[in-house]
Amino acid sequence: MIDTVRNDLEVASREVVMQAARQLAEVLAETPQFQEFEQAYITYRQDAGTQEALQAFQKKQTALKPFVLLDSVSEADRQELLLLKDRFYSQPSVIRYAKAQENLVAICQEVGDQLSKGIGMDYANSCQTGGCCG
Amino acid sequence: MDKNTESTTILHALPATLLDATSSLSENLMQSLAFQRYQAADGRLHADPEAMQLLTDLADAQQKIRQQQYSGAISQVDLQQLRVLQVAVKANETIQDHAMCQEIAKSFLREVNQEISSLLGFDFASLARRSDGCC
Repeated sequence: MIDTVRNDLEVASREVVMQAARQLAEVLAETPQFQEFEQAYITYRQDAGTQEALQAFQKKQTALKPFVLLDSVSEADRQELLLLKDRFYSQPSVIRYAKAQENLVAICQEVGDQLSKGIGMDYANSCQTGGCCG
Repeated sequence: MDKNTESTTILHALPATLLDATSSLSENLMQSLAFQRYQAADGRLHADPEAMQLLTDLADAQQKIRQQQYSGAISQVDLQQLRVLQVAVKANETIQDHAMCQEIAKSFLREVNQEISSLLGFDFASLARRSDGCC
């Protein structure tokens, strides 16, 4: 743990707090959840099949956008879009990345809950700017 | 699952090193000038019955107006009462000091979050947020 240096007023200096923040980030980055998230992201980005499936889905989505606005997408186009979407989301690297993200979120939420409990203030919502849902 | 069991499960789910680092950060935050000032202001607010009553009255008046907005019949008397309370709250030194100290503490918390986020490569608070913790 960090060596907490405090002055005569028992106030933790800004640097001491920032050092504790950096230490938390370092420890969090060493967790299996974070490591898996990083690895899954790299695999996701480098997987040619996944990227091709993503581009095909996005291309079709963009092409259909004007028809969606007019609510005039043909049934055939709608089915093709759904197939492309399913194809993308069923890629192993996408499934792995989504699962890794879910696990990382879970551990971040737990850390956030502990911080909130310790400081008597909702950590995550307090860090938000522009109000509650802003 | 009751709250105590849930809390124990959470503690067990976090590795000891992560739990230690989390505790260290919250302890240091509580010892920071921004949080010490906020705690002092919070203590002063809770020890001030007049200020606490004003806040309760304001919350009640806001709730009343919200209900009237839903029903589409806002009472001008209630609206006037709300405005009077808003002015009184703005003029109350204890409440304003508390609000200012709270904002400074939150601002410091955002800086701390930026420090964590810059090392992780994503906004930590966004991932830590629970969807039911907001509106």
